[in-house]
Amino acid sequence: MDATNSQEFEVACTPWIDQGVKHIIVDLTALEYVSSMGLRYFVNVGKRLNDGGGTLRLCGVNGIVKQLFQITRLTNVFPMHDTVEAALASV
Amino acid sequence: MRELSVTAEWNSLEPATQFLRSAAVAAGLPEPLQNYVDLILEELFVNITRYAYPDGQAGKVDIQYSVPRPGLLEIEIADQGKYYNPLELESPNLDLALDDRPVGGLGIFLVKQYTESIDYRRDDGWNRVNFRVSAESLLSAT
Repeated sequence: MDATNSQEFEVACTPWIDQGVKHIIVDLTALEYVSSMGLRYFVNVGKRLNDGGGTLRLCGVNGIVKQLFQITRLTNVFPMHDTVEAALASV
Repeated sequence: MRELSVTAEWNSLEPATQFLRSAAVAAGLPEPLQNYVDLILEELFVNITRYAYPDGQAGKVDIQYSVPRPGLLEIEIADQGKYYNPLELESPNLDLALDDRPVGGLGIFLVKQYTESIDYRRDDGWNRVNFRVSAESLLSAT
């Protein structure tokens, strides 16, 4: 997720949020790269879900992506799970 | 010293990234660490494309690198836009709850985390950001 494509994440989430979906679980197992632009859209989507009493839940975060979530302490604001199943069980 | 000059626009990020990938390979940085060079470039490049030049003006971005020794890259990213020192930005407050967090503001923070040293100077109408990236500093930061 870089400056050229990160917005697609919010575009994909928006119809669900507009329909009143409370929780969105994102499997990031295959995500190999994220920049601050990508983090920006995670924060934006997370805020919108929070406003409706829901959460953005992340799972399978690894490699540089995991490191960037840790160093920016976004691990403290998004529930993080090892697997989709674990995320589903937590909702 | 190798140089690349591109237009300050989104489409130039890809050739700029390829250019510094070749730099990372020339410096012998292990592949997992090359992602951090991509990241530093993207953060600085995006700031230039968004803020340096007035809308509609096709300014340029010059990128230079050298490899003083294996495992070390010295890079300069320069533009002729308005004065902008990214190092003057305030550090983000990372302890805020999600609702209180600003949506952006993490880019230069990340650049500072992964560069061994970084400095800015205004030079005859150019913004010049020079930084060093080394295998040692990346490994200690990661």
